[in-house]
Amino acid sequence: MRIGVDVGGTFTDIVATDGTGSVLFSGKLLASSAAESMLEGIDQAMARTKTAPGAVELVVHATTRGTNALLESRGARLALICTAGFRDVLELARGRRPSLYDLQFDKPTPLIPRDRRLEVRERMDHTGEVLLPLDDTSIQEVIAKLRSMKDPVEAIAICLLNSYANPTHEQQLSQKLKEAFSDLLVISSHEVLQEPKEFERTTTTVICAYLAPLLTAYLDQAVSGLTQREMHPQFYVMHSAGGVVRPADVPLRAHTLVESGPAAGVLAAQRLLQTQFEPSEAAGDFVSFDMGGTTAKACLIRKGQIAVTMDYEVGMGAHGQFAVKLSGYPIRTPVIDLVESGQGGGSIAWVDAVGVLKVGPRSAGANPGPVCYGLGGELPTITDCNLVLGRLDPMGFAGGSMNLYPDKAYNAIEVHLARPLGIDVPQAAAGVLRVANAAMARSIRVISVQRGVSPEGVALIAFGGAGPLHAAELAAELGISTLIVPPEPGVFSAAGLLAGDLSTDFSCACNLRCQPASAKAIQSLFEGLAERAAAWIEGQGYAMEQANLLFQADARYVGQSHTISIAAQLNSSASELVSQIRKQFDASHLALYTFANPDSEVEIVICRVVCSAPVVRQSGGVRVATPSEVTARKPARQVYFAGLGFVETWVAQRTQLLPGETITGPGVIEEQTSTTVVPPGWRCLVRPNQLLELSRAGQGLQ
Amino acid sequence: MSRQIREPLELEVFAHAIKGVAEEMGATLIRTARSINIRERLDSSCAVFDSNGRLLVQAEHHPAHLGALVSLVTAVLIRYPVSILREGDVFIGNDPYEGGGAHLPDVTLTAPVFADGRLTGLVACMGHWPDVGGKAPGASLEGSTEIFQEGLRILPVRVVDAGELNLNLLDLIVANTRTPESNKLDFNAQVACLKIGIRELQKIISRYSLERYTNLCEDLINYSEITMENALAQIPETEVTAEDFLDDDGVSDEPVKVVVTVRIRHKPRPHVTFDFTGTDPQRVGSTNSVRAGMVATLSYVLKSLVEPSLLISNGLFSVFSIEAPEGCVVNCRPPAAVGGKGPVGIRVLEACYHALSQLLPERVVSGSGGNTAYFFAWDDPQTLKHNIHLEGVGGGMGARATKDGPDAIQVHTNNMPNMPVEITERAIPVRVERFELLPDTGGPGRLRGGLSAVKEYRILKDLLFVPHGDRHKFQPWGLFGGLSGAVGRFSYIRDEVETKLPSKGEGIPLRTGDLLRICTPGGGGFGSPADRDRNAVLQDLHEEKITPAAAREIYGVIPEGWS
Repeated sequence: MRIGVDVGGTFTDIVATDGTGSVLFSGKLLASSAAESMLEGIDQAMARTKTAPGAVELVVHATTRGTNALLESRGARLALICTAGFRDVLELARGRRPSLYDLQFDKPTPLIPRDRRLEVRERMDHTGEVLLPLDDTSIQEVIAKLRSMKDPVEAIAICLLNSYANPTHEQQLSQKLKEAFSDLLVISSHEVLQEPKEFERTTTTVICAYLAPLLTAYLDQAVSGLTQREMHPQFYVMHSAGGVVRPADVPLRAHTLVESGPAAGVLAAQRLLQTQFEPSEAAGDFVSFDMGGTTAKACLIRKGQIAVTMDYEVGMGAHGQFAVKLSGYPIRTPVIDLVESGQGGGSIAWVDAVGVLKVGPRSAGANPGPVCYGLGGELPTITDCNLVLGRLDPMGFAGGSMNLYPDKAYNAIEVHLARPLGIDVPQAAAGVLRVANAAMARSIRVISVQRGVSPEGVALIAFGGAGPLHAAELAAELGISTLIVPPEPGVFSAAGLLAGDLSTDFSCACNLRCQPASAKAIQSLFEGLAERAAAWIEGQGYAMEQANLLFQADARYVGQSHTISIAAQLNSSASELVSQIRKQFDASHLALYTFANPDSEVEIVICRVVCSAPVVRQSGGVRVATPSEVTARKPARQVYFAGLGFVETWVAQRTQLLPGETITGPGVIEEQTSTTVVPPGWRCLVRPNQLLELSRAGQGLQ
Repeated sequence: MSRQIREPLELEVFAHAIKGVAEEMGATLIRTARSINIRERLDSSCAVFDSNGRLLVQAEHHPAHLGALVSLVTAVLIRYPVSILREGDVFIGNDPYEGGGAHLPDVTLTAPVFADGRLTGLVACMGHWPDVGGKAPGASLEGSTEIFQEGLRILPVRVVDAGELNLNLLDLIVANTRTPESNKLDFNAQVACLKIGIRELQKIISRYSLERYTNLCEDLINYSEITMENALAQIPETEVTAEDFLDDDGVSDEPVKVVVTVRIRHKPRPHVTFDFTGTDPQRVGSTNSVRAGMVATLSYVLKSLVEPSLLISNGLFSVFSIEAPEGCVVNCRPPAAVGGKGPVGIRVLEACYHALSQLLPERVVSGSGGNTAYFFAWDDPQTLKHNIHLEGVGGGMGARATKDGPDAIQVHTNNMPNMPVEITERAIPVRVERFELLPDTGGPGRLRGGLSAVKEYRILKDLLFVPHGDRHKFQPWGLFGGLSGAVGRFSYIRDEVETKLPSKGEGIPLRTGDLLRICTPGGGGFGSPADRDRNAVLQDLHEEKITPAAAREIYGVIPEGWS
């Protein structure tokens, strides 16, 4: 058995499959603390499927512990060692404010206060030449200061200027500090990231050191919990680029675990495309759309490739791309490029002083939650609006485990929205959904257009508890005509954990023109990276034949600062390599930005290798059981659709749909963890494995 | 005049869509432009206008650019009657007096948007080009006495005629600059950005009927106006005045005085007047601004004080008026040089906060030490090219009623990121030897002003240093008993002798081996230092943000273990 466990802020999601990918169990548990949540999830999967401990071959885990530790400042007590004259790199940051007009803003608190940022005398230049040798006296002073601290530090981060060009001083310093403090974790920037930009490299290194002790302890606890249960599976954690690593690799990669949960959802979507679609279908452009209780997250999947960014930041105080870049803490590592917007089931709708309907940014969260939960919430939320419009079944919410109170929701909408707006309750509720959809559409539109993809041409893959409720109308807002709803959307992300390959990346900075004269130099950089990748792969117990190496050159026109990652083909001659990169760069620039400058010179600034290997033999992806016969549908109910009002709408149970069935809207499809709305003018095709394909009349993937 | 919101249910949906257009334009421009100014420093802005040239939205890139965007669109609609506008037209301009820029490097482009053959709006974008000619490299922001020395004036003209690029015109423009290749590529990027804007706006129009779209534009504008009027109605009808000074105009040594009287009335409609009577006449040096620059500055003041998330649209402009004597530094006449308009704008908005501090103590911020910028210019003997590099370092921000001022950060209309040291050293013949916070530079107070920063450059090759700073003579003021922040200072050390440099002015030749020292100003404090929380003083001391002497003498805190 293989188990994916995703421990989120509120819930633990669990998916267990057999070796062929057939789902044996899936479910949601309220998350508790520490490694307990993960183990409770596994216990439940074992109990429900009556599996012997020895039969668990694989456990893949995603956790929000790293993210939470950052948000709540609960990481390790750190010291940072810097080049003399530069101890404030972390605090000076890039000098930007997170909000242009907000005079009352807060600058993020540095993870290491000024008195724990210490200096050594040394200097490299940008070519890696030593200008000032590492001064031993200043090292001894640093050691003395660290020893005299009233509250001793728990880990040490080192980031010296220009160490990306020559790590010798960092290595020497690290060695001395490890000798002086044998029990402390010491992490140097060159071990984490060999790229220029001292602030970005410092924050990446510091966040790694900040989280490593905590995450290592957490994973140790998890492993010993498994051992106590007499389970000895392969155990991995997912990282932000959608691959997985072993716990032993975490200390130098702790910063990559920050966005592990959201990455799993996108990976699940990608794997769904690979396994359940014809290659011709899967070659199109898709957007994964994951809407939960507090936020909605979207990611572009282009020709089967997930968009990945190196510009991830934490602590900007706002979501995704609407935040001011470079005002938080960058983590320079490949991160699945999600755009997050503040719309979730719990987002509160309100009428402002001018009399205009608004949604969010306040959220009722899980507690008190929406008014209809009856737990004390008083302000109407998106979920309340879905309920009064008949889109949710008050008796069947969360598989019937929770009763909803439509009357309370109705009253709240009437008092807070309908009366101030002078309209009726259904109109107000439908207006709320439209505003929420417009906000989500705006973020999806921008991530598409930024990459030269027209949103009209994509298909949505909708999941998360609220995703399938909103997806069709959101699609209509974007001009999208097709969307896919995987089975059990509420735990779909956890299934993605089982789709991750073992993976990591290595990079090095350079400054080489993409032209024949530097072809040999470029090739040899890639060959050096290939050797590092091979050593890592073999260290993981894999043969090179099982591994997949992806080479990338981050290139730009001379004078530009943004780069584009270009796939490099290493199996050719050096001159072919550079001409291939050059050609592809022009083509990518044209596709992304509407123009290319074939006469301008191109330079390569970062070479990277992403190496991966499958953790287990590839299966056909996650499968679910199919019913053998049609059973009676639930009685139809009145559901409100904009422009039509309440109309009689059929209601079906997801598990009772037959492959090949086509149903026309208006309709509602219910299941344990979510509800799918099929608006009028849409039809729903039931594909094998209970996959729903919704399309607007006359459209579809085929 | 009808000012109620016709579509309260749909307005937010529409606002998201229109903001999305400006954001997509901005994303395109920033990622495709050639100059580091636009790409890395994000010195660019995008906006969408209705068919009457009224602003619908400016993407939140750079507040100071509002003047350039609005003035070009206004000028184009005056010069080119609607009847001769054609689909595929693009107009260009950078001239402060005729429309298109607040200073000459701000090159603005606009294009009409047609739907069913009718003019339905305009999209515009502005990019700060690294050079537009003039007497010295580095955009000639400093040391000029006439606008003609500051570079090429591009009056609002049609550069693309129904899709046909006027290459002669473009060649003429870029030939008069020191960075022709880069400017041409920035131009291409700006045109690409407009194309995206046109396409997206047309999509929105086609989703609504033209009539409904027009109503929603009206709602959008009315919404900002009503929000602002409601806020003004909360402030008593009164008149408050403050003055502030710029160090000098970059040519003479005389300070430049800015006086603002803020007058609030409630009837017939809530309104605020910014009266600049008493402000110095326009100067020989470049610390002058055209009136359009003040529109941007005062919009910033109102939005930041009333509702930071408010959409900036034309509705905001109608709640305030500007009374500025013709020919003063905030309403200059040709041929005054305007390269130093940035510091003028900052001084005006700080004077406004100062004036309004008694009325809105919870919202204002003490005087800040931000907005230090400077250029390096040098020739590359290999390529025979002029290289120009702009750098900015934050100063201390003023303290607020409930929060200390943030340390070393860009403030107000400026939010330009600093350049990483490791990139600087790859790009410029300098070595950065020090970049850190300076203790005791934040104005003491119940809430402390932000600390300033020091950045030191070893010059590795003869080059020109062009200063573009301020607050080197007049300290950033504190409020309600808070003390002032430290002044800034530029200097260089040669043969162990430190020579002070002016805060602004013409390029200064530096020699190989010189050490250039940049000290930004600190921020002013808020409330009496005697009322500062003891633990906050101890924390500052512990972090060496203040010295033991300051703790003892200013805050009266004598910590254990310190003498």
